Amino acid sequence: MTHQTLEDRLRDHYRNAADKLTLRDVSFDDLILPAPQMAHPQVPRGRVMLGVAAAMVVAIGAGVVFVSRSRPVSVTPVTAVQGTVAETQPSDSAQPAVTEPPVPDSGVTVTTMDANAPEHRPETVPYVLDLPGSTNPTDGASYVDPSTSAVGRTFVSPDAQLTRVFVVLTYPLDAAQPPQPFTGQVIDVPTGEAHFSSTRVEGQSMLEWKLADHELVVSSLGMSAADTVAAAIEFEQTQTVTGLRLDGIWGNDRTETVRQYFAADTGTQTVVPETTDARGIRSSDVPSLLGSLEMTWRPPIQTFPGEAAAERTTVLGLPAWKWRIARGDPKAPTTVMWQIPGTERWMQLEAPADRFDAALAALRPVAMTATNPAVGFLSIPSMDGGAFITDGVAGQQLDELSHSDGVHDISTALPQDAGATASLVFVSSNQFGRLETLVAGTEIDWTPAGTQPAITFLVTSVHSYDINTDPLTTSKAGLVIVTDTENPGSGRQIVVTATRSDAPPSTTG
Amino acid sequence: METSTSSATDVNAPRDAAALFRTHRLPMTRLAFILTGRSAIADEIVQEAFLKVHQNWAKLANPIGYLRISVVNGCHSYHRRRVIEERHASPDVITGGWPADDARDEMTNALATLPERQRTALALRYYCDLVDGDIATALGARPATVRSLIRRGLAALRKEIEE
Repeated sequence: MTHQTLEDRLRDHYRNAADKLTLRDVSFDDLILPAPQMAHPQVPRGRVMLGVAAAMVVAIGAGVVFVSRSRPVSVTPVTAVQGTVAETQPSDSAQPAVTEPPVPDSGVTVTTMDANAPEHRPETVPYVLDLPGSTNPTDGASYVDPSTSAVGRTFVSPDAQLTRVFVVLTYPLDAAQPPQPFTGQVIDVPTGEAHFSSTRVEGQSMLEWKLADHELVVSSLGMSAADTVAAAIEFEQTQTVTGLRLDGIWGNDRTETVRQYFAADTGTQTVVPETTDARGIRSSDVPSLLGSLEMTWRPPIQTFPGEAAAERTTVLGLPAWKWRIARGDPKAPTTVMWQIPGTERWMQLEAPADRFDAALAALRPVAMTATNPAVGFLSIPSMDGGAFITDGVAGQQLDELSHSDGVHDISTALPQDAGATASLVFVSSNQFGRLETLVAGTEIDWTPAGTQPAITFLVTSVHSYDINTDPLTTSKAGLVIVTDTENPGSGRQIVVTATRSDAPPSTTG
Repeated sequence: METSTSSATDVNAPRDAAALFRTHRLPMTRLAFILTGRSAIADEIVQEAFLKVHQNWAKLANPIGYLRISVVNGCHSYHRRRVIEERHASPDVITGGWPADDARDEMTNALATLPERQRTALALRYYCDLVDGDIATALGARPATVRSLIRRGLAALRKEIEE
């Protein structure tokens, strides 16, 4: 009888597991040309979706400008019209402030549009929370017009809850002939910094807007040269809008209730009440391009039924979500989660409810310098699957540490966290210049200097302290990270020290 | 099962995203299925990955490598969400994933005890037959880290199975 090695058994296991997979029959076109689940029943039939793009504001953002421009047309000029779709997720504990006058539930304020003039439609879009048990918010997405020389509108999320934007571009099938693929290269955006370009991919136009620190990509098939993307999207960067990514829409992304604003082919522009969660705008303009903007306000944390929804807060001056899963336990931890500016990484701080505020208050943006970079470095997985390399923070040789080391003694260095589940706080000044957090359950790779193999640790216990007030700062020892290892019996720990700068930046929030 | 190395410059490299989809959807979905245990999730992750590839095709020097990274990252994100959900959920809320312990085979149970990155590294090595460098790229780690993950994963598996 042949004795299988562990490696062979693994291979067999994987092969057998993989064989159990059955795939749905999906073509590539199904992926990139999804038919959105339009909630608007009055949409003229025969429209074919020309292009779809979804924009995800990965930061908790505040402002979006949606600008529509018509370019010179070779045959017949056509006016591009955008439709808009607002989509929400519940956030009943954190209803945003309203900056626009309250809007009756039955309608949307819209001005009549002159087909020959640049679109100019101030309006406020109400939205309704869709999940059972939630209450109607008074919040809305405010649309603010640009200067009179421009077209388009600015979307403002008054409470900086804008988390996702979809852009849907569709095309009427009853047009005389399919539009030519977009061949333009550059569309100037009024504010100047945006750059628009296109790349043909398999008969499609890959359209990109590039702004400083932003990149928007719209994929579409056969866009017209005239109005193709007669829309430029620009993000009005604020301190809280730091990133945007466009993805395609398909499948589950379209299953949520949407509100759509369509340009239709008859009548003047009116507001057509649809269902409780959808309204339509009709226009006499027969668009060659129908643009829809779909916005989603979605807490990144979906709590479970019966639990309070995540609520808005700020951490280090950054928008954040805070939630607590009580389950009848008064000591249940409170968690706050925020996004690292300029990244797609979310950081999380978790602490017992009774000490959460203190833990939160202990976070400070701190400039750090390495004390001993030759020792090694920590590779800390980011929330999006990448990794932080904390070059600026020196790790100490693992096995050289001991609990009796006065500097690193948990009981004295971390008094407020003794004996409790808490947060892990680390500093990575090179990337972020501020304190960030991780939580227990995170794996950390530790790569010693030299030829020693890397070791993976599972963070099972985390402690933090205020670097600016802790007595250890007198010795310029900045931050301590303490973890158990994946071999709890070994007693090994990671302790990271760093030098506090003399003039750490102040907290902004 | 996919090949260990690939590049857009290869003679046999797919010429476009659609071709890549035809040739790599199944192996990538299988990989995601192995990493997540859920076919629907795996399918979704892979579709998202393909869309990213499609959108960035013109800029990709190694579309297959990019695809693989996207899939691995997608699986990682899924596990991260599950960790958060399960930490706060009552047992009756937690659903899906691999079958209950008593219905799983020995290897599945043993793999379930490993940290996610070790599981991922093992799958990339013993299912995808990737070399250290490719696994390191997919995991965003160094080859030395990959070797450590695999070594420790195998050791833990062996210990788990022997017990």
